Amino acid sequence: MSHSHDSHDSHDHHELGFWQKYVFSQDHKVIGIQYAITALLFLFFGFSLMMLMRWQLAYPDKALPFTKFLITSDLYNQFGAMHGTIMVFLGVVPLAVGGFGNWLMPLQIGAPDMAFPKLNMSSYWAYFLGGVVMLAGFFIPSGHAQSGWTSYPPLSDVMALSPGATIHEKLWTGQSIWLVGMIFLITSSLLGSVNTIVTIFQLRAKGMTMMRLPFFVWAQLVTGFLLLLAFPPLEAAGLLQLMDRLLGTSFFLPTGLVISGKAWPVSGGGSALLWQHLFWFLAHPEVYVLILPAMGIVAEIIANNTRKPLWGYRSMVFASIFLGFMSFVVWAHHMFMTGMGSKISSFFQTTTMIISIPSVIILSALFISLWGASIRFNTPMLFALAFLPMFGIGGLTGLPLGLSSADIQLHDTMYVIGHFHYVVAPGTIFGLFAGIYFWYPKITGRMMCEKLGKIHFWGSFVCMNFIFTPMFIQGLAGVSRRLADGGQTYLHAQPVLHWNVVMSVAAWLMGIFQLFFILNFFGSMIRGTKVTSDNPWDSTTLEWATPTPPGHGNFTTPPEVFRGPYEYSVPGHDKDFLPQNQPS
Amino acid sequence: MSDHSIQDMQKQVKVYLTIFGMLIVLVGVAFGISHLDLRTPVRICLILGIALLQAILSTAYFMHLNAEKKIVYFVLLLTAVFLAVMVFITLWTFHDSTAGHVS
Amino acid sequence: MEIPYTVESRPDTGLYNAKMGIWLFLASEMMLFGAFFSAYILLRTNAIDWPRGSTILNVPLATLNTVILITSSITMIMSWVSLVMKRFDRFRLCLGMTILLGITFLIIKGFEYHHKFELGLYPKTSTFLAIYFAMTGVHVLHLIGGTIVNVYLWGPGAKMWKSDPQRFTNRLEIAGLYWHFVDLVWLFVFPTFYLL
Repeated sequence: MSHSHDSHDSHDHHELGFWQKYVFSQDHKVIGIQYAITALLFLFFGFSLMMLMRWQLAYPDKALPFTKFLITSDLYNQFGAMHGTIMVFLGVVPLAVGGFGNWLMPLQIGAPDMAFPKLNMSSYWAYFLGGVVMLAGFFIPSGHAQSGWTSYPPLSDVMALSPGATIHEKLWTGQSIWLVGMIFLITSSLLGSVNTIVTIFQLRAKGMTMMRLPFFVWAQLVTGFLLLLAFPPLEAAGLLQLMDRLLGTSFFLPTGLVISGKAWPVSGGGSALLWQHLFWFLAHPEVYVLILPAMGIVAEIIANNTRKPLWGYRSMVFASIFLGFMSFVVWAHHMFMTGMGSKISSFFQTTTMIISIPSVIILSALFISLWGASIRFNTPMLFALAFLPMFGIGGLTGLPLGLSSADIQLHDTMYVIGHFHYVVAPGTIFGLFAGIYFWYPKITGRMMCEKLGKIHFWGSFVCMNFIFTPMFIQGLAGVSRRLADGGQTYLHAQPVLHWNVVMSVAAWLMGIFQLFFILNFFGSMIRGTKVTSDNPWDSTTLEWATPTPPGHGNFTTPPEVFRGPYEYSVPGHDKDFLPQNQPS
Repeated sequence: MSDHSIQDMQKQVKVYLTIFGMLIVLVGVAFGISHLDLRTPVRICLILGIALLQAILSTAYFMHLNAEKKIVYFVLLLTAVFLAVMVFITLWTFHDSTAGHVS
Repeated sequence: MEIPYTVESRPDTGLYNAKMGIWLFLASEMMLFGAFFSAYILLRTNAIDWPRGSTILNVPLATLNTVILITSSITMIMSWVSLVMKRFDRFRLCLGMTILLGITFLIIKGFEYHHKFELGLYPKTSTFLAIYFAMTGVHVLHLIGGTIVNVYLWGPGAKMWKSDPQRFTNRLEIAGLYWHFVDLVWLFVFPTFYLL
């Protein structure tokens, strides 16, 4: 049995310099924090783009206050495309998977680090570079990507291009830069997912069987497979679109395309629908990438703050595996309006209805876990509890969209925006906030302030609902999405136009409430109450069995696991929790 | 993992060389078939069938897939299923379409 | 704490970490090339007409390239066998041949591309050429990546044979799996474009 001597690059034998310790670190905890901080900055930026957009929607064609700055339609479209791109690919997933996954998962399985520390570091820097490239697009004179985060051709294929331009000039356009950025980000994701899966299968501590894993780890495992197998088709599609833009190919351009009265000088013979298929083949599993880690976080926090085992752990595990599998066969429910025949539409409608079942199972299990519980209403628990009905609304409003006949009315309306924001914003992001409040004491050794946390929570919770519920109203009335003027030129939109002001004010108020979070986050590092134990929440899972913060290698001695992850309130014991690594 | 004896490895090498020979022969066969005047569907089936055979030989013997662990088989099976879904369901979408020709 | 199972296999999965890692990576690569193939099938079935590969492409040259790549697969596996048999000199020879064969493939491919450009045949000329250049281009990129890894293992990386021979042997095995995959992709790309 040979152990390699330099599998960890002799970190145990010499002190690391500043750059190797904090910048080019191979320690999953440092990398996790790098991901989290970078992602939070991007989330802030994406949020700011939205606040600007909402000014234009509430007061179309009026300059921003105290300035002469007008948000033109072109600029609105750029903000819209980049808000989506940044929130999904630079914000939520890097925080949920790169941040929480990286930092927490190895600790919860009792591992000293991820399986491939160098690869982990490379994944972060690929993400960082992708982010830089994405931001660079804002400095391009012809504007950033402005064909939606979905980049549908033919528009995305030709945007800001003149056929006579050089390849160099064609590359220095927003959409081309977007494609290059995506290639970096996809590569980062792929490398990260390999790391996640190998770590979970190979580096579990002694006694940590698969069915003793915290649900958070199962969520990361399924997410890893989704990223691994669903992202490559988008990488292929991105490359093909880049070739269309830079080399004049026609992968996605049909024959006979005419732009501004002139025939577009390409060979034709391509298909715009091909892009949609390849894009949505990823982008549907991507939404489960967005929700699963948050479900994992919420499950951990609910078990801990109810002082009870999770109800239905096994069904949650099997439901998430089934969810992952089904997520690969539903994608064309985003394409019901593209002229698909009734047979294929029925296929996708059926699979879409089926996929709602595992989500319901997971949500129900979490709800039932509250029954008979002794609930501690701290800030992380408030966010975790709110996640449940908010995700419920998000999920339920997805059902009409998944029915191809109802989708005729609702497709590309504000209803869709309301649906998916409910799942991601008061859904996933609330889950991520819950996680930050919950694991903050393990990372910093201090608790976040409860008062500020509660203000942050209640303010955000109320504002979220005022921002997104009116979208359903507008959508049902027929207001289309992506309208730079909020629908004011349409007759059918007139009765519901006033909601634009309501939503915008709620959005700006929500911005103000995030200041409480930012203040709390930084302030508690200096003034927060110091924890008196390594396990301030009295939790059962392994990350709390480490020093605070965990050192290099995480565990002072290799942990051994004796029981499942949620042994709370076990009869016959003085304490109401039994840590996984405590011998009987 | 150095549980390969010299004899085992020599036997293995014989297997590898045999497979190598078969792969080269199959390239020749495919090349020959491409010069025949066949209907396109027959052509495609034969030539891609040969490619599939070469793939099976290469993965089974060169990549040791004939003696791999369950978890690797599981991952590859999953991938094959999703690949089939991506190719065939997308094709079906283009086939069962109300929009006529798409390009 | 050291990271376990970097060299020896974990009992329940039967794999060492990098072995599982490379198979997962290859699974994602299958999806990548599968997506390109999917694009090819769609473009071809929707086309009014589709040229026979032999009318545009150099079939004999590509057939030679196919033989070259298959040969590089056998030299690659022999380089791993050499390490298992503890013959470092033979390993160097076999891996060196693999690298040279890979470079030969690239040179021939480069010649092919150049000839096409000389004839005014570019990716934008037709969807056939577009998907041809796309798929062979991505394949070439993967081949270059594999060759870089092989050069590293032949050169500076070979130091590990002295310090941790088992781990180095495993690295060859992993690099071999990747290399065979690159060969495998070509075994599909070649008939698809040149013979159909």
